[in-house]
Amino acid sequence: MDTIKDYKCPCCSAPLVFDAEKQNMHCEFCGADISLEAFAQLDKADGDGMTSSSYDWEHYEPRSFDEGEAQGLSSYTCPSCGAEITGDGSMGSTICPYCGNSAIVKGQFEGTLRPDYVIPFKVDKKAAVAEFEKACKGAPFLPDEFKDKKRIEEMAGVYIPFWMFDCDCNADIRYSAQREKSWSDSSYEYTKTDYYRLVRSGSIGFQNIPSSASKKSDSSYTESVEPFDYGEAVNFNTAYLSGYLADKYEISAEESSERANERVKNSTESAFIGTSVGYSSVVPESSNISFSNGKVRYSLLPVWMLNIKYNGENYKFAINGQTGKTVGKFPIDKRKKWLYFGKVYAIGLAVCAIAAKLLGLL
Amino acid sequence: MKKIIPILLVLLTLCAVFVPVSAESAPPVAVIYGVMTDSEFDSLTARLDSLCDTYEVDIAFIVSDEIVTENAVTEADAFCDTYGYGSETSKGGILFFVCTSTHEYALSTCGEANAIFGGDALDYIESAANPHLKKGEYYKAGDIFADKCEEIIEKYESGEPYKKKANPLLVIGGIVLIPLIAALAFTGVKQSRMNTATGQSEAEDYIRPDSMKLERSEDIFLYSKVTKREKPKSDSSSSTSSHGGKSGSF
Repeated sequence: MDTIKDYKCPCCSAPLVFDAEKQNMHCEFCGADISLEAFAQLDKADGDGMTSSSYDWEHYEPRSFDEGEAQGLSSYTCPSCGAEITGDGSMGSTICPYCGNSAIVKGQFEGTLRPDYVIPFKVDKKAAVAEFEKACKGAPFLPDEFKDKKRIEEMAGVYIPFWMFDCDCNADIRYSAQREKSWSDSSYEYTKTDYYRLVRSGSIGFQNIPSSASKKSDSSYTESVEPFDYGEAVNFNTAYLSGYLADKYEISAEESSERANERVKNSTESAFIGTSVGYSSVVPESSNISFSNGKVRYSLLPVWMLNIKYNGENYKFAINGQTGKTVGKFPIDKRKKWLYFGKVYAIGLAVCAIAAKLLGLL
Repeated sequence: MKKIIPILLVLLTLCAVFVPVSAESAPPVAVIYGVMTDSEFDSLTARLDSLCDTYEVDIAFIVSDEIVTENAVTEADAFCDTYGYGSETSKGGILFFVCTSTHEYALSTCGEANAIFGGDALDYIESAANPHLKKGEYYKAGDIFADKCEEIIEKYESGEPYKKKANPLLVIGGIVLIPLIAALAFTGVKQSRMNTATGQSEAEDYIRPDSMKLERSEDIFLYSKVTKREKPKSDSSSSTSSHGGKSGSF
């Protein structure tokens, strides 16, 4: 006995009935009339290849440091925030790059993952300070006393551990789209809205998607300093750590891949939407993403970290150690903010009053 | 119909022999019996006659209990055209027609009075006279009509045609609020620059160049919907191409 199939409206999911007069599928709930031809196309599109998403990352095989490599390294622990960072054994007192505490404790270096790649620091401390000062100039409501040179020079160069993901992404996405047209006559204004279902499937490749492997570093900062130029990545050597700190990895590749998956999905949906032209609105309805050839690498990426305490709050900043891009949250001087507001308001008030007088409204 | 019947008979007789009806013979006030006392009628007639002599604009006030043409607008225009209101004066004329049975009224202008009594001026007359029409105070409506016509003509002759003043509260409110919203928007935009650590939701910087391949691309048309919205119609309507005017009900 054949199973009776339910025909659902693509717009509101209510049951469809066949309208004998119009020879269409008709939705009694939202009033949509869908031609049999369109319905057959829709049915075929929905039936084809919509498998569930799968993310197939290769399992990462960790590597450890050689004995000789580990000799020159020391571990530093911050008693204030608990950060565990690796640094050159010869480094003197070091400021914690995450909370600004200067009483960090040096300890025995313990084996941790050996990175596959590193992007060496290209922006030295002097240049990083200059970039930060430039960013301060672009912060309109920054308190004047915040730009204390002494505090700025306490910034620390840290190699942040990242998992780097490469993949080929296969996507099968359905979008709801609308196209509008308006016209009018002497009595009415008309709007015609055409409703479409868009089907896009294909593949797209991604490389070097970074996802932080450090619990201590705030991902909103580490993501905001992107992008890095991976053409300058080199095979790891402990010599690159000299004079800099390296944060310890705490997030596994599997845990970190969730963030990469989300970014890949969002980018894929956006890239495929770009192929839909001439619609007033395009909204993803459902997407199935699967990865193949997923590769994972462990890298250290250079970031200058700065913490400034101001009015009892800790303000963090990150500067891309390769490009100099500076991000962070600046404190707001309320007096400056309201002064600016007052100036704009006064000018606007004068302009509106003059305009009203000229137009004879006053 | 005490006053209107003899007037209409005179006018119709004149029309029957094809003698153009002069403004002097077309009375400024013609009303049905019972809407005004004799003294009110005489007073209003004298007032409108005086205004016509002073300003060379025919001003007429007609109260009837029936509309023989299509509507109040065509009735008012017909009065103007048939009885020559505004045809003999240098600046045209304005006629205020009121129908007591259908509770409709119409203002009809012709000649230069089309420019003297623009949209704002007609609104001004309407808003002043309407409350009295609603109460059945036809003399008061006529008197107010005369007052407003005089005021509007004087403004026109001083070089400033009557224009409706904007509600001062709305103007002041706009002057205060518009720059406030602008200042808040500008300050908000500047403040957003104080936090640049916002993260990244996508990975468009990491798309391998030329790696995107679209294997299937289908745009399936589902259905169309047409909605329509009636254009707002104003309460008033201009009558014929040679007449200006406004109409309404009370």
